[in-house]
Amino acid sequence: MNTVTNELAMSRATGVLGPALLIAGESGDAYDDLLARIRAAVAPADMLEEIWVRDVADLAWEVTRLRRIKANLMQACAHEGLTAALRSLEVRNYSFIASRWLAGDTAAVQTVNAALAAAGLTIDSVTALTVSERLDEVERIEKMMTAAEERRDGMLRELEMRRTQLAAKLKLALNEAGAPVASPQPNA
Amino acid sequence: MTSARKRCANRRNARKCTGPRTAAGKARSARNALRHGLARSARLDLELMRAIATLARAIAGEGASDQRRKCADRIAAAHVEVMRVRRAKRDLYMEGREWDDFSKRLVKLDRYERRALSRRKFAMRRLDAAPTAAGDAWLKNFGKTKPRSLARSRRPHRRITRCARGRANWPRGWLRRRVPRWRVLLAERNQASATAGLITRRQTDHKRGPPDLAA
Repeated sequence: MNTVTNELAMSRATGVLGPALLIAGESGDAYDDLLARIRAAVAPADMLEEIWVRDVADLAWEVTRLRRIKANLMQACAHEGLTAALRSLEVRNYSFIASRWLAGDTAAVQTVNAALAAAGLTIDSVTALTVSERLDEVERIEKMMTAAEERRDGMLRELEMRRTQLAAKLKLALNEAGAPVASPQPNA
Repeated sequence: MTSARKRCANRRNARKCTGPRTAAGKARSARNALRHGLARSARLDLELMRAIATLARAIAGEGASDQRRKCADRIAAAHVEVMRVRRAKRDLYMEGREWDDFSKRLVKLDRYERRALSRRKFAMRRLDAAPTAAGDAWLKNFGKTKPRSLARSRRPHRRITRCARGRANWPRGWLRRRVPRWRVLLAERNQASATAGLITRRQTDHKRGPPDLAA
């Protein structure tokens, strides 16, 4: 019964707040699952809380998306770092070898591994060089991730503050009405 | 510095080219400066206006006061702006631009989202602080000495004492005759005199008859 009520409230909120904004390759079911879990934890009482819950889900989703994008950036631009590494190691045809390595060519992979091993380097050095090549982009993505996390935390703070104020108001109203308010007992 | 001759030539050339002439050309050039349209208010778009109205109704609920409805409208407008920015971000992800251009644009869009979220946050706080329908009545009567209907009373002698400021429901005793201070003092003195048995003739003879001379 409770699950049915939750689903009804969720569909109503989705109807008013609009559908999830997903990009290609993202699973709608995974997003719905995340939203349902957050809703179950927060149990929104009104439309404002529904908005917050939706925002928290959206921002959590965005952080995950940005993390994925950052990983993709590092993967897609790995050949740039490798090019820089091979150039400094004075390997011939370094640009061509790097592009073949990215395409997964076995001979190129062997050449790269041999060159790196001879210089005492690992694939982590290539990653580090890739980061230095794409530092601006990585920094921008990191900044956006931080901003999204801060916003998400800020929304949770607002929600908490609002509920605390509401609880205080209710307590005051009950006191004025003369109703006894039970204070929580430790170890009860 | 531009010479006078060159300036004249520029002006002459400018007169030859007067921009787009056809309606299609004008429509196209009108959108030259448009990048994502997020600086434009959502209220100028009919579809977004409908979304704002629907959301505002859902936030304010049935029978909300005017002030709450206004706050809910502000929240809804800000939320629609937030969603607009997120939609623009989604479109940017889907466009498949170069990494450099993509990340720069994403950061720029983020600025719009931050502003809209800030607007929404403060609008939400205002809504929580806004009084309910009963509170609105409180505000309406704030500082008034009497309700409007009774202010036009044809009995001006029934002056009404100033009610407690901001009292929403007028208490039973609010309609009472205003008595001048000197009359109150006199009544108090008479009362005291009556209690002490020192009643003056002038004030009481018409009620009590002749004074008891034996006393």
